[in-house]
Amino acid sequence: MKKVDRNAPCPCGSSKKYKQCCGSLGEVQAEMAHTVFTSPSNSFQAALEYHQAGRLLQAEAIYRQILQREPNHPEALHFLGVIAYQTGNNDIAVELISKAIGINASSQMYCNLGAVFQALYKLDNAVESYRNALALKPDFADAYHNLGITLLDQGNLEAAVENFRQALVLKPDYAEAYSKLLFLYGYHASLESREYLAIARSWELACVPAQDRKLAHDRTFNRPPSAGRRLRVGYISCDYRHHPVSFNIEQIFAHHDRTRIELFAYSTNGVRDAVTERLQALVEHWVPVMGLPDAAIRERIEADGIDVLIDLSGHTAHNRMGVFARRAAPVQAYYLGYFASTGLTEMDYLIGDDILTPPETDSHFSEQVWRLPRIWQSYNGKSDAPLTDWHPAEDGRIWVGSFNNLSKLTPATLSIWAKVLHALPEGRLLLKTNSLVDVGNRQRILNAMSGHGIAPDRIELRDSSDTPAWLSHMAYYNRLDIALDPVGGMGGGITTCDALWMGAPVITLEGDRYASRVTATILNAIGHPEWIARSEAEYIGKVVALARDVEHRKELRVAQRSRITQSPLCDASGLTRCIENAYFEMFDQWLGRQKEMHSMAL
Amino acid sequence: MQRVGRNDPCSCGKGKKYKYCCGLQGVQAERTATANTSIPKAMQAAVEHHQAGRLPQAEAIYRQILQAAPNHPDVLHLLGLIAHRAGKNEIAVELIGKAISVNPSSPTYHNNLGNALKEQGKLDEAIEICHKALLIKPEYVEAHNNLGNAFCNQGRLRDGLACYRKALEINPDYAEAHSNLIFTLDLADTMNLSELHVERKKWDEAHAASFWQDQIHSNDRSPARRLRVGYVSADFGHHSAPKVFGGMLTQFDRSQFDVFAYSNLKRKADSLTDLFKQNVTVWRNIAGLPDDAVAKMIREDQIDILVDLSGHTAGNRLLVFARKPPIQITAWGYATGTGMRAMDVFFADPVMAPPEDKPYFTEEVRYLPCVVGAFFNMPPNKAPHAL
Repeated sequence: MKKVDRNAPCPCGSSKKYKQCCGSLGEVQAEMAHTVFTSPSNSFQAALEYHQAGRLLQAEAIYRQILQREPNHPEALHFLGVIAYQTGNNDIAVELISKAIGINASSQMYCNLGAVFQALYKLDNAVESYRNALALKPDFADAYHNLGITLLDQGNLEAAVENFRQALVLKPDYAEAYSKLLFLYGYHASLESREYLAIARSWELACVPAQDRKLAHDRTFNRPPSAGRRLRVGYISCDYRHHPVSFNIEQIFAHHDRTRIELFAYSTNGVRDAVTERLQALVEHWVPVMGLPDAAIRERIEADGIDVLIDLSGHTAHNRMGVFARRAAPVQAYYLGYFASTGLTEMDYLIGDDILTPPETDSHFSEQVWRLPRIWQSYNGKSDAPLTDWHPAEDGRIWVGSFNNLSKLTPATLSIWAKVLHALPEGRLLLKTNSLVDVGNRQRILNAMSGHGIAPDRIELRDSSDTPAWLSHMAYYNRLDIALDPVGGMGGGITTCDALWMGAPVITLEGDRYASRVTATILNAIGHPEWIARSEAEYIGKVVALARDVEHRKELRVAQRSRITQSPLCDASGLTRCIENAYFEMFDQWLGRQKEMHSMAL
Repeated sequence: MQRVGRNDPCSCGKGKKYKYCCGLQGVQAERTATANTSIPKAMQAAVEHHQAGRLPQAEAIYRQILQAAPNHPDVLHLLGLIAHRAGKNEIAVELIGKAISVNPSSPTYHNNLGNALKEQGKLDEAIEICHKALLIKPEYVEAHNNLGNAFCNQGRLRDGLACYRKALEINPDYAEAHSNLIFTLDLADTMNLSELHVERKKWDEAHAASFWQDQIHSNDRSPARRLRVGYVSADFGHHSAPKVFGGMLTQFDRSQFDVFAYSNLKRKADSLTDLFKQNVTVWRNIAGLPDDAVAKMIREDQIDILVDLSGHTAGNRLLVFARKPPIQITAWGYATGTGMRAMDVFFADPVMAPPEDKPYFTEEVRYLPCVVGAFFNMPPNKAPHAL
């Protein structure tokens, strides 16, 4: 265990110094041991208060004291179990909470037991625990929410969605469940865009008090013109760590022109890794805001005098939509992290491009769509990636497939891939992603494909165990002749770029919305618009034609990386200039409207 | 298209009788009245017909509007409601679904679509649509109630109970949801008789008690006359309840009784409905009529004994009974009491409600000198089942 500095903030989250908090544990325990509580309920109350304040060690000491006097005190066992869970001792947690349930079961105990099982990845046990919780307390919104998460891990999307919806019926302002639901609706494109938008627009009605929305609407900002000064740009994200969003944003942070932009990064997540360190080094103002309520973050941002505030999360986990709904800056926009409308009245813009978000998609968004005059993101192709070492298979087999994550492999996707295999008898399907380690998941894919008439011997399923290192993962693309983009819902992003970087051609079916147009804009940027299909038949035809044209694929493979390097996709500096120009224009437009309103008022 | 009666209000919406208005100008005039007026005006006329229960007239105008504006979401939705009312749920689902694709942000459309899907037995879809209604409008009590119904139809009673409780938390005066709660609690086996009785009394206190007033009944007291018995039910059609009470409406002693049927049937009449209509002394349709109006009707009909055949089941009109028009009995439609102080008697037998359970009834439990229900089946030769 890493030793915490005496003067550093205590890791228990109390925001005190370590030495004044858990660091004084020896003393605390001694003190607790000598504290005489007038009654067990009194001491239990004290423990609970410590526990709720995040001071786990103090709470634990008292729970143990209670159990010495009263070994079957169900709540002491239960909360001691919760502490075990919070400190990563999941097996002990199961034991303690199960014992508590045996003595006097409560819905909360079952719900917490479910969370422990989920952490242990014992999904069936988790589902059972949550169902037990709901049997005792049918209006237990948290249990529905957690059950939804577990079902999602089991790949049972429809049941998961129903549980999130039911959590919201019981607790309409359950922002987390609402965002999760929107995310799933958007990710799988399971709703008409208009219906998605109607539900997205209701997020703020349910989750942000009317008074706060009114304040946001009426809020004014005083800002001098942008000419001759730097624009203060803030980015909020919970993903400043090893995460696709940071993969993109790191390049933008690196290329921001310090003479034009004063850069603020607001991090809403306490998890740190090497990427966090790099990102922090790139920005002028690194502002950790994890654990603060939305209103407090909003105040902090307003006090920083941010001109343009960028959201990188949308409705993904740990988002801070509540900050934007309350309006923290004169211009608010979202970029990169999400793939559908946030639905917020106070979100002014969404940043896209001509292919990703063409004018016919404008009606999908409550935001105004700001189209960059180039592809809206860049790709940081790593020069240390292995060079392509691909050869056509000697037995004449054609390996088509995808390394996208499993939740992108919607029924529509599996159906079209089956059609590809039917049209291409020499074809084999290679799928590789982490969650294929799970037997249930593998069987689900094989069952679905055999339902489409594809025998299991034409499918190879791989997880990351063969390729623990990034280099070997990238080299695995040499096994793939043609990469297939998922269809219908969310398509590939970085996965598409990785495949291209390793020389593999990628065929995509251009969808009707942002989520299903990402690969299309990437292919357009690297000069391969002919790999974009407009219909299912075209998709299948393009794969087959390319599969049969071995000579063409040989040429492609060798030249592709240098072609991409020289394309706009890898021009992070050009992208950042465009983004900066967009920020300035957005800000100037806002200032223009202010002046207009001012002169109207006169 | 059904013709408008000469004395009906004119469908153009001016409020005159048809014969003095568009009817004057000949048969074509009514069409013109809607074809030439603006859509909002035609809409207003149609909605007035709709609200007054003149569905064919309303439907005709809605269809005319659709010809001019094929995607008018309100019209699609209202036509869907008419189809739903006529039992044509497939058409209702299609029409309301189309309305939603034009305007996906209306919670009402979603809720009514959910209702139609539920009637079709498509419960998963009904649940999904009710959920969406609630995402758009979380305080939408009718959608909570509908969602509860869909869950209960799936046998998910605990989920259903949570929905009804949520509806009541938002609107404690929502008697229908409270009746549904009571009905489901009776099924769910989560409460003992005493607790169930407390919940019934809560219902009475919250919704019914305030209507209580001692009425002086001016009914003719001569002992020789025929007694007038009124039966109130939403189930005068093919349904399980008439299997028990059907005899009362068809085989009563006509020399001793006049029988009035007050029908709250919300779906289309069927062959059993027709059988009842032919056999009772007087048939009255009370679907959609407010409770006060029904109570007044019952007083004016000089009913001596009013019998509730629903208890807390769907479509009950217990709030009419709360106004206590005459002596009141609850019987046959539901296996337990209503919890209402306005209800005088509960018909039972000692097996169905043993003497030791009597404290859990507000009504006087009166044992019939036989088993309480006799199985009634429709005479098959007279009117075969409509298929």
